[in-house]
Amino acid sequence: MIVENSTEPGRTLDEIVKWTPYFWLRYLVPLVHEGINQLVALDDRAVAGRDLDRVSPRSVVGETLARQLQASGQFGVVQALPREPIGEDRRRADAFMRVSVSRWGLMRVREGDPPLVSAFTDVNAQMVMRDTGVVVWEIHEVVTHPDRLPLKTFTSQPELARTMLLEVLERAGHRLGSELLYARRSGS
Amino acid sequence: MIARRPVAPLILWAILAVLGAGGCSASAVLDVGYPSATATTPSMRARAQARRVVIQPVADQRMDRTRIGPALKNGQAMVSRRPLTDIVREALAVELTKAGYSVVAERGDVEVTPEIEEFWIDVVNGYKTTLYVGRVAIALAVVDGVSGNPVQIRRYVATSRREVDGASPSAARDALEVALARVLHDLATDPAIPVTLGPPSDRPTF
Repeated sequence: MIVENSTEPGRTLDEIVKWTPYFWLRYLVPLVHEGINQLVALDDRAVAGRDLDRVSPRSVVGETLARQLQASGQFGVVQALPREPIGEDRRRADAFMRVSVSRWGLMRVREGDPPLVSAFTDVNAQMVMRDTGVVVWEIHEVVTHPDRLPLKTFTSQPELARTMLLEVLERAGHRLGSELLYARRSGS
Repeated sequence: MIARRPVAPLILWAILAVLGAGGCSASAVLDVGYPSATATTPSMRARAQARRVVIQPVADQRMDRTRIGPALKNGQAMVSRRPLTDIVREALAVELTKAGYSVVAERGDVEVTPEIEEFWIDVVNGYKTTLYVGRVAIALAVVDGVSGNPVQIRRYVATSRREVDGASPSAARDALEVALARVLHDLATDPAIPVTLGPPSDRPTF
């Protein structure tokens, strides 16, 4: 997805509606604003994201998280799985870490000419004890890639968009790992 | 973050496929800080308790040291109420102390020199909302306190987003504080830090 955070055309439509007798139209302006921006972004989204069909965001986040937790030495075995374990796999686990990616894409993060965009993702994670089902830790993290470039750069180089998006997913996995390790260290 | 109880060392399985894939502020002065906690785990304390760390004055290496965000519509520059060097120094001291190091004024086993490379809030005005993007980058140069030899330079960078209706100084401050906290959390959980701040015999030789 591409999040533009643009003021237009909403503000212009607001001004127009204000001077018409059809004042009730103002309730439709946010919908029109959103619709137009999504239509405008369609081409960019198709071009920038054309190499992303085979990317599983959850897998990238989860595998990075698993690697970081394993490398910390604070866990016996950390294994990333694509689904809920069953049978012996389930019985052997002390806890499950459930990861989801609620959205990911490109977002405008700086105004200017041209405005700059970054890869971003919003992720959730929770740790659940197997024997009790108690959630002992959970977190929602919004993660943004530190690099900022004009949108045109991403659309003209889809492979760059792919790289940045994969990197921000890896950063999200790392972010979750850091926060979990920090919470454990703090004894909370 | 919600953390309800400590988790003993355990076997952890990461499950990936369960939950579904899912303006400008009225004030130009932001009261940025670093919320701290106090608890540490015994293992971290035991590892670090014998090491004395001197925190050298924080170097402000930002390109623009006069402000922390874009100019407001009224022409005011967005600035921090407290000096960033003080905020960063205090935050670093909190984290090193929590990890079990003794932060001392002189004659330390190691000396760290923090450098603020970036501390900035971007403001993106939307149709009904305002997006604040905080960004903090800090470098940590570590020198052996006895020999004076450089040990290592570590760099940490983090961003944080807050999207709110209208304009909100508190959202801008939150975005910066979360970015700063992320930098410090990355530092606190960096496996290279105990080695870097530890005795020379623990350091890898190249």
